[in-house]
Amino acid sequence: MRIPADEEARARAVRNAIESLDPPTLAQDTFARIVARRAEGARVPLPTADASFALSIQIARRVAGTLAALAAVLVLALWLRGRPTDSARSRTFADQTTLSPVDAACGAYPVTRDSSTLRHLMVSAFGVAAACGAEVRPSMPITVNPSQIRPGTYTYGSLTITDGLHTSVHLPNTFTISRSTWKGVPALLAVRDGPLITRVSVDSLTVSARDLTPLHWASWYPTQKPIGVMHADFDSGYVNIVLAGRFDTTASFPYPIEPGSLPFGWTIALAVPALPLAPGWHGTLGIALPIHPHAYKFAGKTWETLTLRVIARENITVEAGSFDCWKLQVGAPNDQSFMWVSTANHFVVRSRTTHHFDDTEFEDRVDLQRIDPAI
Amino acid sequence: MPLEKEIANASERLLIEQASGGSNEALATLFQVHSALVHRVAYRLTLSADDAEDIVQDVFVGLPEALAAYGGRGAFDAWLRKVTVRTALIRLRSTRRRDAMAARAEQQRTPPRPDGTIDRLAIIAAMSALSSDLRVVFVLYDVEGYSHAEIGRMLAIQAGTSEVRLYRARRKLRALLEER
Repeated sequence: MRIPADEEARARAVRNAIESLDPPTLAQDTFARIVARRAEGARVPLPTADASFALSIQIARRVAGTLAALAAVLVLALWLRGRPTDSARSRTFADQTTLSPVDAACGAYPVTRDSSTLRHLMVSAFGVAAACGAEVRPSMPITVNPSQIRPGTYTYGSLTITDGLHTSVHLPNTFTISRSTWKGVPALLAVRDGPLITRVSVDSLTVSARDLTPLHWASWYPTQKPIGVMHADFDSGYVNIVLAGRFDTTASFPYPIEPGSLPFGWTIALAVPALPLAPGWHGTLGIALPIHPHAYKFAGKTWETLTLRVIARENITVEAGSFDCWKLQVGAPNDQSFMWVSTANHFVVRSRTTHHFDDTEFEDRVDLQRIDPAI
Repeated sequence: MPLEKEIANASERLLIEQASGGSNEALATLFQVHSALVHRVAYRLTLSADDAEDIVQDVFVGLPEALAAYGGRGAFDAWLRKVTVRTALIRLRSTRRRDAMAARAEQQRTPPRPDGTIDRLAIIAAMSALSSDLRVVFVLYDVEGYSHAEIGRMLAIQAGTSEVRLYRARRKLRALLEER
């Protein structure tokens, strides 16, 4: 076949050539093998819907992964409601809620005294690796200055823009920060109320006002009867958790305590405002992710390291007002994740991350909507 | 519609119903009639005899259960072709054989023909050297005849992205074939 000069003719020539490309003949026994596979019970779910539908499923699975902790809590609540008698429980307790090999390994970890019930709640708040002691968290102490943190109530609204076309608006998160003491030590108390994971709880984190070391964490579940309360003391490298209400149990697990390394969800409110940001500053935060064993295989890790670098100074306007900000690069230089932090008041004004899944682009944006008292 | 066509359609509908109900005989007939189409589409997309045969097997192993989704809407062979394309795309994504294909293309690189002609081996090599993203759009549009809108829906990309990929695929193919 001669290659024609004209573009369309060339494409046609290639098309004709490809159309004439017949595959090697199928093996004679192909259909016999198909029948044999079916006889053995093999079933192949075929993709009968377009990929956009499959993508929706993929996105739904990611959301489901995030909400898996809620499912675990609900499953546990239902199980505890109808839990067997003590004698029966002694036979069945260990495996009642074992969900995966990762989960089972977690249950076998000697320091985690409760093998099933509390562990599911612990992973919601602190990450499965921390809860199980299965993974050593990277050590990355940073310098923080908690005196920069301004007491007040900060409301953050978030939205996701898909391919620059479709915008999903999410429910806002509210952080209320006040000065306090904990066992006689000056502390900062942050209370979070928002859609994170369940929206059936209000949780709080108390940190040292001196170096931002986590001291105490509490969560309140007003939808339970009796109302459930879980609280945790961070003490000398361990977290000791007590759960009261419908549940009634305690546990402890190793949790290396470092200034600024806070559980997931507290970075914007407490860690970033305490950073000594200045032109050229950079540092790395460690964050525990609330990953349930069901979601573990999708996420692949339970600790996130957040590398931050001041790259510019910009004035930006959000619903809460206009602010002179440090612009931070989050992650590697090529990552498309940025944060804007007020130069005068240190709170996060905006956070923006762009993700790519195949050819679909998602932009996640978190904006400061309101501050009380207003600044 | 000609009588022969109507009879053929009715016969196919009956076969589909029986295969859906678990009849191996009906499935065998569908295999005889349509396996060549499935095999050819799978081979053009994967450029691998092994993968193409695996896809044929997977499609026909899963077909009886998948027929419920067909529901008699439109031509059966068009539906089956789409299912095959999607199955091949999943396989291409999961096996990530782009590098292997490029390596194979390198091995298959043949010296240019002085008379300016292209042969079967050259086409396979050039197609293999394309990234799977480009090759899939090229095959679906230029060979299988799908529109950019249809390709967009199958690949979860915008129609414009499909057009851009087609342009890039054609340009790269031209460069690859002119090298020879």
